[in-house]
Amino acid sequence: MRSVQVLFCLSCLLVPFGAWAADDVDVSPFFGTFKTMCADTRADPDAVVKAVSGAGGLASAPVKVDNTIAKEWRISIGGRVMLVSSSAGKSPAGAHRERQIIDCEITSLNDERANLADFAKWAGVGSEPDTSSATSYAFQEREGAHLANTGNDSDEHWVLAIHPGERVTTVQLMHVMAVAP
Amino acid sequence: MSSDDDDNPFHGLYQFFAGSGNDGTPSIPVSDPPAKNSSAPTSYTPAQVKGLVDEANGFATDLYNRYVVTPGGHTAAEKAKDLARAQQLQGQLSQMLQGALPQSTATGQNYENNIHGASDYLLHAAVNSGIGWHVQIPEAAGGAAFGFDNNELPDSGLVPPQKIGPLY
Repeated sequence: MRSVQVLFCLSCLLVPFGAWAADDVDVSPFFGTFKTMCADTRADPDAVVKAVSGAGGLASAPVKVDNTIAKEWRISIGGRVMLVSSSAGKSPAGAHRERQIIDCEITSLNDERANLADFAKWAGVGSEPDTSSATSYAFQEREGAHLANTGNDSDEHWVLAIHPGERVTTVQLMHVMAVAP
Repeated sequence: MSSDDDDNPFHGLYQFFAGSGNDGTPSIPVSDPPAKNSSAPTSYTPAQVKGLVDEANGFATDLYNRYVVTPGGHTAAEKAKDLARAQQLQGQLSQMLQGALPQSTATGQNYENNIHGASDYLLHAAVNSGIGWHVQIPEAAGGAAFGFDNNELPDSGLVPPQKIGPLY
């Protein structure tokens, strides 16, 4: 059984959303696309539409599954083909509660395993993600800073998940709203 | 680290889970969900949550690899089988979210986060793969619902692209 890795929140802290400016020249096209489409938009579906429109994305038909509406685009940036996905919907949070979740994903049809460190830094973590299995980071955001989670399951928070692969890599940013009473 | 943490496959502020689902971790048989109790929400163990999350994440990645990275050559039967599998997993994830999830004493939200993440990842993978997930225009946008079956989908790995327009 693959050992479960544990990282502690050593450097998590106080990393503003805007810490990675658009003129960062050393970031990969993959991270740059994530920053523009998902992070700067705060995963807001309307803002994602505007961002991907500006990049000339080609949209697929929207999909509605249960209470979630999903939209997909195909873009090419820096010679890299990527898919941008956005969704918004209400999800169960226990037997009689629900919560709103918005999601923004960038899927690169390239080997991006060497370009994952920027994502961990953006989330506020010093350690690099595992390049052989999925990694997720949960954090809270207060006035632009990334903070450790409260541990209260019902609180609003953010999740960044990375699914690395040799031929395809997906990064996923979820904004999980507080549980509705 | 507490004893609770030892049972928590997602413990730590940063949760790690095997995307391939092939790490030998016991998983929930897809055809055999936990029995329901009529008076209480179904309870899930950490291993059950991790098993289903791994299954869903692994299947989503597999869809991207088979349909998007390597488009073409897919039969209608293969698409139908994958669609059924994606919908089955999606239903199980939704059912799990309505149940009683194990608590992580270290960081709380771990289990629910991973289920939500797997659900969205799988949904987008299924749509991007063009295996025929029901497609409809949101009513709020003024469109009528429409759908197409597997045989009508192009075998390009993507649903037909459209330039972004006033629909959105």
